Amino acid sequence: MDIAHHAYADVVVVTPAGRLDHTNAGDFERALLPLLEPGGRATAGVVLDFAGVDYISSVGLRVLMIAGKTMRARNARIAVTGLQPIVAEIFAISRFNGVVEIFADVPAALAAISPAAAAARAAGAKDGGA
Amino acid sequence: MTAAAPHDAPAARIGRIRLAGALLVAGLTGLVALAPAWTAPLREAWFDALQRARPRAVHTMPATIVEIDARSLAAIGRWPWPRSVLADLVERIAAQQPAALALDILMPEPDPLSPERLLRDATPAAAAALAALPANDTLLARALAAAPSVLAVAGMPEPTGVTLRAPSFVVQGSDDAASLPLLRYPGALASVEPINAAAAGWGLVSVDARDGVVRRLPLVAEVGGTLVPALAVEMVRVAARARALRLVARGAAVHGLAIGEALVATEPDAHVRVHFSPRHAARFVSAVDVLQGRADAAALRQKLVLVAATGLGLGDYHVTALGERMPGAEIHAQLLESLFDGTLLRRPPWAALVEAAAVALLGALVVWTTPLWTPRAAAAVALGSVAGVLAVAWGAFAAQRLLLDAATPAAGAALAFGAMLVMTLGEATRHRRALERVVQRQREHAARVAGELDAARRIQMASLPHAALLADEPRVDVAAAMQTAREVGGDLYDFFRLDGRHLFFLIGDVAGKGLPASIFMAVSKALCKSAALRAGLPDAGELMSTANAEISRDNRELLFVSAFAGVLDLDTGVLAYCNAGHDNPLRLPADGSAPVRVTDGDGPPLCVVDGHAYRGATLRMQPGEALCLVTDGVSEAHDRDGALYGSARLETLLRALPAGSRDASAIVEAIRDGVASFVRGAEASDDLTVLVVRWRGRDARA
Repeated sequence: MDIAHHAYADVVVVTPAGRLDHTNAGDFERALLPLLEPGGRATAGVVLDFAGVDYISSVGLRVLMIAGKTMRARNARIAVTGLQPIVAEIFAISRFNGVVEIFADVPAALAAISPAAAAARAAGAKDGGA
Repeated sequence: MTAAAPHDAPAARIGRIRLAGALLVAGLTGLVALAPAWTAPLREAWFDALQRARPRAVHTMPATIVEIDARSLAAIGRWPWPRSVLADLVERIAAQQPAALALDILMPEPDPLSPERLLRDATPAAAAALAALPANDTLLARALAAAPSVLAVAGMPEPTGVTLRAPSFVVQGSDDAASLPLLRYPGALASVEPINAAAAGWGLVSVDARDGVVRRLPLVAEVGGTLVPALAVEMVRVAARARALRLVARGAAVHGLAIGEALVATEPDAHVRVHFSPRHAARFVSAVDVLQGRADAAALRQKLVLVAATGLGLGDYHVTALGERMPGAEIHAQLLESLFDGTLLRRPPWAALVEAAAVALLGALVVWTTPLWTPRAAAAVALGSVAGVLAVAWGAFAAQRLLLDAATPAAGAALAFGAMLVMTLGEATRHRRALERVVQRQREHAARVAGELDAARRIQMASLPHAALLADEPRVDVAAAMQTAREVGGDLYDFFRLDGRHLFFLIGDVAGKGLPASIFMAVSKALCKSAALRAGLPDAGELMSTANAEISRDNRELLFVSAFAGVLDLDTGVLAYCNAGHDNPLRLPADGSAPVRVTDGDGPPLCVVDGHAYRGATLRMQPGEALCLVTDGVSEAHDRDGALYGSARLETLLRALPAGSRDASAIVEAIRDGVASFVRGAEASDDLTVLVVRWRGRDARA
């Protein structure tokens, strides 16, 4: 499972893809949690871009729970963006929409969490970088 | 569970076997290259087999044997004949102008039948007559002197003091003939002097029969310190009127023997190998026929004539490589034929190296293939390559009269194959036994785990409440079912009366499955129960907040559990509930109308947000109305193609239930059947739990 991530100022944007179920939730956990360690760049928060995520099971939600606890303990924020309808329904049923912040897309999440990160991303987009 | 490898990797085992095989092959290769004496019998047996398969075809017959056979003895008298008779025989042969005339007869003593020896017992008159006659030895000497005659010399194992007459030798290529590895006899036996001196040549008649079989003949030997040619060689020299023989050496080995200009290549000890033909009657002329003038002159003219005694009890017979007994004279005749036809067999100095290379090649093939292939395939390769070596050796013999040993390489390959097979099969057996031990251990372990899981399952299932608990309660009708994806599950449900009026019920789902989830499930269920018993009635939110705090306290694995808890007032139908991140329950009205989702009174799953203050909600059930609670094993059940059952199908199923069959256990069965017919045997990926609570009403009768 490929999990891309990119740091904008004090926010890290992580982009998992596919199904976050028991077969690769372990990969997701191992990829995500080190990015949230103290000393990392996710000082203001982490944004999980779920546009490419087709499905998330309770095992996948558990990773979000751990990430949420980590971020809350540091007074940082955790946001999920770009939910597909099925994933949005799962978030609604499991009430994880109250555990993490939900935004329509990454710019909206960055704007809410850190203007610096939003600016960094906007500058990068203008330069054509990712 | 990971099983430790029973031994090391297969490659290492094959490597060990191959190393042992390679050492064996290296030893065999060295053995064949050095060819110690004890390896000779196998080699010689192979050469004999080649000769027997293809004996020499006789083209020319340069030699004739005048044999003193049984018929001659019957006509002339018993052996030994007076040498006057031999002299007559020599003269009659000489009259036919043979190329050379050799007597394969040793005459070391004066003739006892000579006239002067008969004097002692004779009358004076007879004595006088006899004395006037010449001595028999003189007659024979005279006859020999007039012919191109060659006399026999025999080698003796002890010194005899006999002074030999022999042709002169020139030794080329070596300063010291004594250092050459020639056949040496300490002593000699030759004919008495007047006879011996009359001959033109002297040749060795001794035949070197190793293991009782004549295969190799010396062309030159050292007899009593003198170099003596073989009888056949000396006959050729005399016939060619050559003065001397030339022994050509290279270093410490004889290279060949030259008679005049013709060089006959020999092995290092001056031996040659005769390609034998079977006995041939055309080689023989009876002595009595010669004496009585009946012999065919063509058999003697310009021929190399050997006179030899072959009659019963007289001749020296030897077994040849063909396995046939043959008079020594015929062996000399065959040597003469081979010298003339150039059909001596060749065993070149490089033969042993070629054979060693064959052993190394065959051995390497066997060592490489045997551990990899099936015994049958490896045997086929070994047999095929051995057959190839045999064929090459046969071809070299048939076309070039080359003697290459195929038997020893074949035996070496067979030995290497056998050893490799034994080692490979032994290793395979050891490996199989080790695997069997591992499998046995795994089975025992699996059985133990299965036994423990089975026990855990029984404990888990026994911890779930049974509907019979409420059999005496007419106001409510509860049914539940749980199917775990594995032996033990992470789903939970519970129901019990808090007091005479209030029923508590709970359904939950631990994130994850299997043993860890089942333990967390048991803990969660127990803590929820304790929270329900302590919480103020009828506050489901407080109950859930307490449970959240209690379960989160020892949650090292960071699991979480979704749960829906309710407290039903059995008298009023008022339900206080709280949904901690669980699937929304469905209200199923008694009148058969469509089910309705209960979505409020909610919060995150337990353990997800520490210290979360849950807010419950209430609703009022109608008599006969059922609340239907499921875990996501229902909504996320999938068929073989991965399609999800989904909450819409569940609602459709419930709506279709007739009003009369909406008691709790019928609903549970309908949901289970609906899911089962949807998945059609696809493996369940999650635990599946259904809990139905139907309020019959305050005054209902059971």
